[in-house]
Amino acid sequence: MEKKEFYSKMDEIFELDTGTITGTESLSDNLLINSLSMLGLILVLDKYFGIQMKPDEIIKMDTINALFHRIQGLKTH
Amino acid sequence: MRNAKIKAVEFYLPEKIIDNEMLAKQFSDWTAEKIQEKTGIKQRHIAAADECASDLAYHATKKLFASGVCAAKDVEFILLCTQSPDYFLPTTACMLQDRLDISTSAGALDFNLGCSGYVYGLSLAKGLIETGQVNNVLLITAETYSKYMDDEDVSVRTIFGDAAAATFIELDTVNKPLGLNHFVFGTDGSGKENLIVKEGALRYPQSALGKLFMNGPEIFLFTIKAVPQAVNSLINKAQMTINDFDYFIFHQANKYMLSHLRDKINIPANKFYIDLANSGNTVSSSIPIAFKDALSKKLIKTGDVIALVSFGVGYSWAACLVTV
Repeated sequence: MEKKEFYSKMDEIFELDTGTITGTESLSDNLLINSLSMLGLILVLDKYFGIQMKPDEIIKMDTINALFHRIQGLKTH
Repeated sequence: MRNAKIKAVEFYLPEKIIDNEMLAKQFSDWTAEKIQEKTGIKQRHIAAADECASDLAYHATKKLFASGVCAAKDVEFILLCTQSPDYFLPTTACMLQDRLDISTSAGALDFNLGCSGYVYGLSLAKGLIETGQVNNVLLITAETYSKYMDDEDVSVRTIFGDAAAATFIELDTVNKPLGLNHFVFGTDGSGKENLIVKEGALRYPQSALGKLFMNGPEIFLFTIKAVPQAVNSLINKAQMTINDFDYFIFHQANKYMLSHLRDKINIPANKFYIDLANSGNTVSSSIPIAFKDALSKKLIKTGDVIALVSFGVGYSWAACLVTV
């Protein structure tokens, strides 16, 4: 999945208009991640990347962009 | 050869209903439609204040007896699965022996498991029957998780409903390897904090009943790791493929989780049961309720080979093959 498509998925998870996410948003400060959006993130990571990240690890990512790069790193291992 | 087989299943749902409209009025961030979309649940049945697990179990078993497939005098062993017993002691199964007029020569015990409990119960019943200790087992699952729920906790109140189910398992006189087979199990106690009622028992005693805590994302992560592996183990143990199974009945956790698991394991939609709209996640009763509904709707029929897959609190999981 390309970055643009990943951002689009993030728009869906956080119930935002398409194209809202630019990658610089903080999961906890800007997007106010909650239990439901965390479920959505875990599903996207598993379904589209075959990666299972713990919620504690996801929340440590500073931005959506940092999360995307972390996913790419995990995919190469 | 002694083979144990499920003869009949009945279930009971308490009268009181909490529907999505009622929850949406309380939780302003949610609409009734959003609750249904995310959970697949329209309503859940909730036990009355004076209604306990043994009451639900009693009604489920009376329905089983009323169906005529078995009678109280026939029962040789009662297995009862609950995590919300009427009392710390005595054993709920012992109380039911008396209330249901089951013979005093019957064995009875409770076991403490949640959503994985039904498949474990089937395994215990199989062991008792196939080793010749008894000829039949009344397996009861009964939960009133609602009594543990915080009124303000939307994550559990949208999901869980109360229920009981009664299953009669008996010696199958047909001398073929049918019935209950190829059990696989799993346990990972490191997940104990993610679905727990911490206070109110003996480690953290308090006068009030403890509250149910659920870490939804951690539970979801556990299921997407454990359940596909359990299904794979079952398939390998049975030396079958996904296509050899006529139907799959998983613990009815919530629609969101089940849809992803079905997709991940590549189970065809027409072979996979998802319907918790009217009763919600009823913990250890969700599989027998789904099994009974699938029979009633003719989604499964005599001779079908079914995979039952249960998973949840503990963490604990199990799967088996059932020939209807």
